[in-house]
Amino acid sequence: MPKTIEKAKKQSEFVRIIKQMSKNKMAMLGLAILSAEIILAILSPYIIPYDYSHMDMVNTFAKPSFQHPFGCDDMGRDIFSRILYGARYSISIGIIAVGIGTFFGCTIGATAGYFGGQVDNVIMRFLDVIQAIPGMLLMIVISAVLGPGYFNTIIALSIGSISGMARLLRAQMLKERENEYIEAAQSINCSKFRIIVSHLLPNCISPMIVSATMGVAQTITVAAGLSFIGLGVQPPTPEWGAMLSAARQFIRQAPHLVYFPGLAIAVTVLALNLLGDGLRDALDPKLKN
Amino acid sequence: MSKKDINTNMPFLSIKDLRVEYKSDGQIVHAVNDVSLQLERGKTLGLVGETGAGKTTIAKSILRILPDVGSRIVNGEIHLDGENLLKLPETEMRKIRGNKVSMIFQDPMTALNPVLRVGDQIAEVVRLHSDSNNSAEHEKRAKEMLEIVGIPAERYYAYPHQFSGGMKQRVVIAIALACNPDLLLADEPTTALDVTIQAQVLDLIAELRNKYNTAMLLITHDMGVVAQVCDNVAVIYAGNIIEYGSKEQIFRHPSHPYTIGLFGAIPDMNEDEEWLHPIEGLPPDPTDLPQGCSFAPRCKFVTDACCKESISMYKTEDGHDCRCCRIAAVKKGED
Ligand SMILES: Nc1ncnc2c1ncn2[C@@H]1O[C@H](COP(=O)(O)OP(=O)(O)OP(=O)(O)O)[C@@H](O)[C@H]1O
Ligand code: SF4
Ligand SMILES: [Mg+2]
Repeated sequence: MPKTIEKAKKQSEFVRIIKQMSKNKMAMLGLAILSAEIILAILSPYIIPYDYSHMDMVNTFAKPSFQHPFGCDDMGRDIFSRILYGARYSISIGIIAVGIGTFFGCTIGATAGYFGGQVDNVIMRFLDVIQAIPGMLLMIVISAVLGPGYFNTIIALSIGSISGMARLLRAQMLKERENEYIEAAQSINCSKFRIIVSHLLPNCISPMIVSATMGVAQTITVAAGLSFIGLGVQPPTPEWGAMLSAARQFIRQAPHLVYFPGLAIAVTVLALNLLGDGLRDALDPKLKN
Repeated sequence: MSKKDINTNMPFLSIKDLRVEYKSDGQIVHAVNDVSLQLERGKTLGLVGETGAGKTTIAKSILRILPDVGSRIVNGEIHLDGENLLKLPETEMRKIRGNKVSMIFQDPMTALNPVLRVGDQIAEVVRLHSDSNNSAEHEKRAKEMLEIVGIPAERYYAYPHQFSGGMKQRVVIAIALACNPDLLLADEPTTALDVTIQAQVLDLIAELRNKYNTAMLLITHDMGVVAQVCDNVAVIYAGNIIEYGSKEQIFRHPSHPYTIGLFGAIPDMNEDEEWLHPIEGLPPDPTDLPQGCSFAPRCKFVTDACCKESISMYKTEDGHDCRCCRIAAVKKGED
């Protein structure tokens, strides 16, 4: 009997987090929605009923119907097909850009937060300079320099999110660093790297996760902004944000042009937030059980 | 005494003229001012003093874990087993931390990492100082340590928040003792605990110390704790040792006005008194220490001579020193 208890408890941290997550219904719902979207996005070229760029002037502004479940846009293109195909761009841009931004942001923020003093000063003043430029402007400048296109958009968006992430992690680290367990770790001879990676980061992770999931949503809309001004992903590629901003001018006569891309973004954001919340709770052993 | 004699007779731990400063808000905090002390193997030295006296700073200086930024060991020597720790390269120092010298921290509530299992935190120190990569072995040792400090080995997989304060402190002790240190720095190991647990934890520490012949620097501001476990006592005030002697000497003949005041601040069970007699006034501002005796602003016996130049240690008995230039007068006033 004690042996089985021991075995049950001996599972790795990773397995524990997964188990914990799977108990959280809302997180699982978020995961389900997101997985469905990703699968649909991957399969979209084979399952969309119309070509995403196929124009059909007869059906301009067509209301949702059986032929066109989400209706048609100002050029008579099938919105349903465009949204499915656009998921490839929107979701991947959001997740990859935030992933890259978070990685570099965390590296920079952790360095500043742990070492403090001069290192912190230099890094933070540099970030101050970058943050003095409004975020949108910075991304416009970067994408203007790099030129439009999928990968360049990702680069521009990730650079734009680095400083916010770095700041957040740094603040969190400065707070955590004060705790005695950090000194205790030093006193048993943990290296600096080890203290950062295995003692500090796990204690700073939850606000980062929340912020990253929110960040994906924000990034999708900013990507939209970029394509709207002719940077970012170019039409006729059906990126959700681009669809949304292109449809703005028709919001009175054909509101469904705005509803569906907006809904697609909102559902994705919701799913990510549910997942992020669940992940945060699972990572915190205090909230276990 | 010839030079050779000094070396062979060198005590196990010997701190000489240690001076540590912190920089904060452009001001210099004189946290430790020319502290010297000695400690033999298997003995316990109590370091007693008010909050802010510099006790923790001394312990951290020995391990060289003062904050990188804003702190400085201005001068001094810390000899452990004949080696000057302050001159040791970092690579050598790393072999000492947690292994030859380890520390029990002041606050068990924050001294454990909340997101790691308690057992893994004990195993970590074992792994860091072991040549083998066999994690099963490290885990076994960690479980052994848990049992030694009185926690069932099954609790290896628990997280700190599932433990009470006393249990957490036991884990902290297990971490400190996992590598059989020669020197244990116990920074107020019982202050955060309630009285019954306090006694248990002290007994545990004393028992383990005797078993492994560990030298211990016990930091506290509780004279009762000193009475229970220490051999010698150093009373520290404003970063300076002001009285030093065996426990019996300090308890029977406290000589410095501050030490006398400390005893006055303990309720005496035999007398019909309801209130403590705290020493009037506050410790001096460590950024602006008074010239001469740092206790002068609070001292009943102060004279002009006290405030002129720094006071040296005077011998009152064999092995009992006191940093006061008016010992005789104080003694009379006391009688
Ligand atoms: N990181 C720091 N930066 C600036 N000043 C510090 C720092 N750490 C300690 N000090 C100052 O140094 C002095 C000695 O502090 P220390 O922690 O050694 O006191 P202590 O005797 O351990 O007190 P306590 O009984 O409260 O633990 C205090 O005046 C404190 O304010
Ligand atoms: S030196 Fe003077 S001021 Fe200091 S404790 Fe002795 S009598 Fe008091
Ligand atoms: Mg202290």
